[in-house]
Amino acid sequence: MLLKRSQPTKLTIPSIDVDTKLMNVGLQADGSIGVPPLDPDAPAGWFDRGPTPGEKGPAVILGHVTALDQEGPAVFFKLGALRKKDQIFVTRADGIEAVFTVTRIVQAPKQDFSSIDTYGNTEDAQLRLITCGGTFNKSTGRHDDNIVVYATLTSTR
Amino acid sequence: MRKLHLIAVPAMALGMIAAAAAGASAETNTHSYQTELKALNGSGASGTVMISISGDQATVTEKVSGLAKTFDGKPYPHVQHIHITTGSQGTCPTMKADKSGDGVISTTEGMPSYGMIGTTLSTKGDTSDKAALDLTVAGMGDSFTYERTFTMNAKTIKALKAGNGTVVVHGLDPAKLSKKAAKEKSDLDPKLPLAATSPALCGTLTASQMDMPIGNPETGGGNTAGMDNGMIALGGGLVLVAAGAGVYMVRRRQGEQN
Repeated sequence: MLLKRSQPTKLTIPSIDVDTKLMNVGLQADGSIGVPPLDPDAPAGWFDRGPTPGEKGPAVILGHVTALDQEGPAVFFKLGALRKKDQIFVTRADGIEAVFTVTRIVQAPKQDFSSIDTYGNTEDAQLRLITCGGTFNKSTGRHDDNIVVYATLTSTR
Repeated sequence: MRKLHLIAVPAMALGMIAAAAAGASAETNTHSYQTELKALNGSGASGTVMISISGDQATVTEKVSGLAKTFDGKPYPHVQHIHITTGSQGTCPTMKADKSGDGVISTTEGMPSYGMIGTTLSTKGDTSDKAALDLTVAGMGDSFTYERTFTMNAKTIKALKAGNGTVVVHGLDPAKLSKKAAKEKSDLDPKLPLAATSPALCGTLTASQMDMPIGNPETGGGNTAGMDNGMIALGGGLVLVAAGAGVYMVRRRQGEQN
């Protein structure tokens, strides 16, 4: 199942109480992926230099795990609690809601983050939800891990 | 493990601040390519390559493992190149390419499939075909991560756009070859054994479905030690993330030395 390109507008994950608008993020000048702002109410960000959710390839949506200065949870605070077979819903500007099913959840130290696994080409329509995880390292000001949720388009509604 | 990080930390931090000021994605015309490297000549190795090209600046990220580990007691030098074809589709050779019948596809025997050298994936200095056999700038040992940003020549960029660029990593373990092949001299340099220059990994680069981001997503809650709180309130989140990224690069470099 493949859909045509259409701007995603909303992300809903009932199993972890996520219900967020989507903003666009791109590439930073240094080539790293853009991220949404660090305020607690910031939406998740769809990477607009790649497939839209439902198109062939891996669509990428990023969200913060905690807000600036660790002041409370952010949009993807519970991402690590997702389980295989959980459903993810993405509303698109064309009115189609793409339904994805989680296939795996990977939490790995940042140095082991696999760009090719996360961003590499796929034969079908897939989704990647990305946030930070693991211990918040006060000396680096960063979390030690990245969490990547892999999901595949299974239906529309 | 050998790692190369040629992106300067201050430039990275500044770049992110500039991008934050602009508020959106950097407007560059980026092209991304990728391949999975498959074993040739029974090397048993595997790997991945990603290339992001902006203008004539190419960032190559490669991870390989399972290659021959040592050569004369030292880390085995694996010269590696982007081979390019012009009149035919670039591919990886099959055993049919072994015209000499010695059980090894030599570099020359593979050329009808993957073409001439367009770029040498050297660890420093020259990236042209002149550096093709310089063992001192090869990938070293059985497993390595290669990351380098350099000016890529126009003929290689053109071949990549046409789907005719093929990454080839060379260097076999002579002990895994037939007795005959193990004694043969290299078709490229008679001073070297055939094993040293024959292909061990191969993958033809295809266009990525997205503009490939480089490095880790910064999706944590920033909290940089030593930064003034008033400045955080005024400066906003992404500046803080930029500072965090700088710290990260330093930490990663320290990690490599351990």
